[in-house]
Amino acid sequence: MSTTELSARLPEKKRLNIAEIATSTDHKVTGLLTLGTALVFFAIFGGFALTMRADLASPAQQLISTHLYNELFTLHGSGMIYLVITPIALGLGIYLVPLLIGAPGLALPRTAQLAYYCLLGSGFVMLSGFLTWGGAADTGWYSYMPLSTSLYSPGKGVDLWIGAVFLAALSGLLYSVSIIWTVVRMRAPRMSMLRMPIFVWSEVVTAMMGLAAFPALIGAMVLQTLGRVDPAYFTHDLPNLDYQNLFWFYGHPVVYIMFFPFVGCVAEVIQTFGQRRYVGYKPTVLSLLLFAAMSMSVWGHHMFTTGQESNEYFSATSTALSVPAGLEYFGFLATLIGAKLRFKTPLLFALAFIPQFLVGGLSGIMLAAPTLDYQFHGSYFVVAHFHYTLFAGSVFGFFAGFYYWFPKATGRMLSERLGKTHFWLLTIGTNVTFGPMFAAGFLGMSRRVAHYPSYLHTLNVVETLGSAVIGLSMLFLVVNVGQALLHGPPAPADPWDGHTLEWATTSPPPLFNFPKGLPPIKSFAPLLDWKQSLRARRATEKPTEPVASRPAVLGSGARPEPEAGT
Amino acid sequence: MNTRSQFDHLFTLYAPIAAFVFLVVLATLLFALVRYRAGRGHEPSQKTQHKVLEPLAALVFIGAACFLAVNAANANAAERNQLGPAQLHVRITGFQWCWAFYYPASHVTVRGNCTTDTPTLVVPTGKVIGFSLTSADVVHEWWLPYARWKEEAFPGHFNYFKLRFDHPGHWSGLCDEFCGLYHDRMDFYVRAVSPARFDAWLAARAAKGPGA
Ligand code: HEM
Ligand SMILES: [Cu+2]
Ligand SMILES: [Cu+2]
Repeated sequence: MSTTELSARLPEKKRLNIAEIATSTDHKVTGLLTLGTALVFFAIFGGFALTMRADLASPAQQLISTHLYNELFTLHGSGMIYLVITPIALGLGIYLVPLLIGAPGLALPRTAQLAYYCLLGSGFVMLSGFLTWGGAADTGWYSYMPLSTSLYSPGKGVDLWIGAVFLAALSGLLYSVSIIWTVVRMRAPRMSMLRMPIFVWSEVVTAMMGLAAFPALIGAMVLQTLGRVDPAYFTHDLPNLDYQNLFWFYGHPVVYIMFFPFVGCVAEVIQTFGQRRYVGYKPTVLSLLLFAAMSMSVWGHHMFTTGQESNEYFSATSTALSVPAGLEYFGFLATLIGAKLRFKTPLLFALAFIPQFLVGGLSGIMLAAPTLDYQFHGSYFVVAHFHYTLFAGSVFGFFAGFYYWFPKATGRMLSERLGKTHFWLLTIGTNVTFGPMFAAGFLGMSRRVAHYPSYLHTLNVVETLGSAVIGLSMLFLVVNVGQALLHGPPAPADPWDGHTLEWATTSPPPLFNFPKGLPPIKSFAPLLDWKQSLRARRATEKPTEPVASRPAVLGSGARPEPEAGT
Repeated sequence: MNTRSQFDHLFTLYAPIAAFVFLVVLATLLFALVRYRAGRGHEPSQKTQHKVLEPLAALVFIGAACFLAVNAANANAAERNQLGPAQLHVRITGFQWCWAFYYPASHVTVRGNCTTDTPTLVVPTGKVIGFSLTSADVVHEWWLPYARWKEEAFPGHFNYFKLRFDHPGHWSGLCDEFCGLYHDRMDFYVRAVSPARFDAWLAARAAKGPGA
């Protein structure tokens, strides 16, 4: 085997075989199908958001009817949560976890495949609401009872929405199972738990929370179903309150499901482009686990204004979340200080994630104080808060990972110029869109309204202009990806000088990932260890034959340790 | 205004802390970006942990969280318990899609339809008003942004809270829990007037008989 074989090599030109892709149990196929499908949904449900913003450019209801507006925010929110960010969070795990732990595949590949088909079905079922006479669901993404019972929402849209959420919850559960089981069963020899990259840890805690959260969502959907059949049951207070508790028992953990994997992306990107090992690996892992455990006890902060919740308890538990969050930020900053930063597109997204998510986090601590929540609950302040966490945070973290792993997954390099244009436009657009929403909410703008008092007009016009910039920036992404796939330069095995195992195999990796074995695993940065030991050896022994300029990953020189490789 | 002053008190505590934390992180970040960019040709650090700084930071975070949690709990307790017994009772009922305000002592109901007629809740200044809040159908939420206060209205359940308006005024409020097609029309007004004017208003309404 020669080094050139591993570096730049064009992916074999094969005709796409749909049947093969649809039935493949290779984790890379399942992962990419998941991510690709979620990105298509992202475009659809993002389009809904842009339509809403266009409508909100004027205080009076203008472009679309109130009814359509209500359908759009319901499907935008539901779509983004159930069908976009959650599947992206878990799909990244399906694609990357086996590669990062040196495994040939998933432990439960058919489970992951089933999860994918549940996701696909969920999207179709949810969107098919638009074909029914009453239109799609229009009760909001958490669809409180008794509004969503058949008494108050007789259309078929809500029925389809419930079916879709059932499927999405099942999908999330199955993805979680398959990720956890893979980590338990498939780690390469010597890949101990504390040698797993931070991204893998982020997926482990995500999947653990999935195991706890998705069943609660399924339970909530059982109540929804009951409301479709027997709405009279929901004239009492208790079942309505039960629904809220059950829903948020899912609904809060899921915000961390939609967050941790992107912390993982940012951590990997920072250390690779900072050219050093992550600082504070153990505190970060600990804080992830702590975060997951604590976040199961905070759901009541969504219910401060119900008058039927232990506000002071939930306020205290929610505020306590700032401790693990602070430890994570410590890791980010401590790694950046003393790094040697290469400002490639992935790093730019990761860097923007840090202050932007912080805005979402700090406003979240405010919302954890009941007294402040009595004003902010249900207002645009909350809309600003969760878009700063989900969009300015998670989506930016995802793009950091996307630009980072795209060459690995496709075997093609993206254009840096287009990538950076995308980054700057998206950063400007995001902050111009969501920043003023804090002020609008403070001043009394309620969420989920198609029209609003005219004193809020200026703020809303600014927000709508910002959303147009977001839309524009996405065109650069589409062109960049299209161009790279059609005639981008081929990606070498290790284009970024990476630290982790996925860069030790070809781009894209072959079936079973590591046909030529693995470098020895001695830390959470095994490839970096290997490259450093090669460099050290090169410095001492005078090599007889010239060493390739790119550090040879495998092959020439030492052989992989006997037990490595599966 | 009892709720508004608690909000202002807590917000003036939280906002500067949040701004401070944000600026510290941003400044550290910008410092790192300039100082440690690859163009400077330095070698990256080999350090992988800060044995002293890490636990120290954890302690600072724990301290800050305790401080905030205690302040939040105190403000909430004060907001809920600080006023004495109610001197006037009003029942607020949300329904699809408007509000009704009922003064049980004088059997006066003010009910609007929120299309041609936005209902006004009239209250006396300086008195502690006890509200009971419920819904006739789905969950609504009574929000008066001026008061920095809102609470959800559930069918089959009463929520109780007390407000005291210190100054005369006229403010608009709205429904803040999505409740169906015309949710965004569910506006109302609150007008605070002197107790004398309030009594006169209430007597005039009562004289018109129920249902007026
Ligand atoms: C393209 C950028 C986006 C824009 C312009 C946008 C805009 C909006 C607007 C105008 C609303 C209605 C607010 C309301 O009245 O409640 C909304 C709601 C929402 N958005 Fe976005 N959004 C964007 C991206 C995202 C992303 C990426 C996510 C999540 C991953 C997300 C999650 C939500 C959720 C959960 C709601 C609440 C829906 C509900 O009230 O039921 N949005 N967004
Ligand atoms: Cu929450
Ligand atoms: Cu409403």
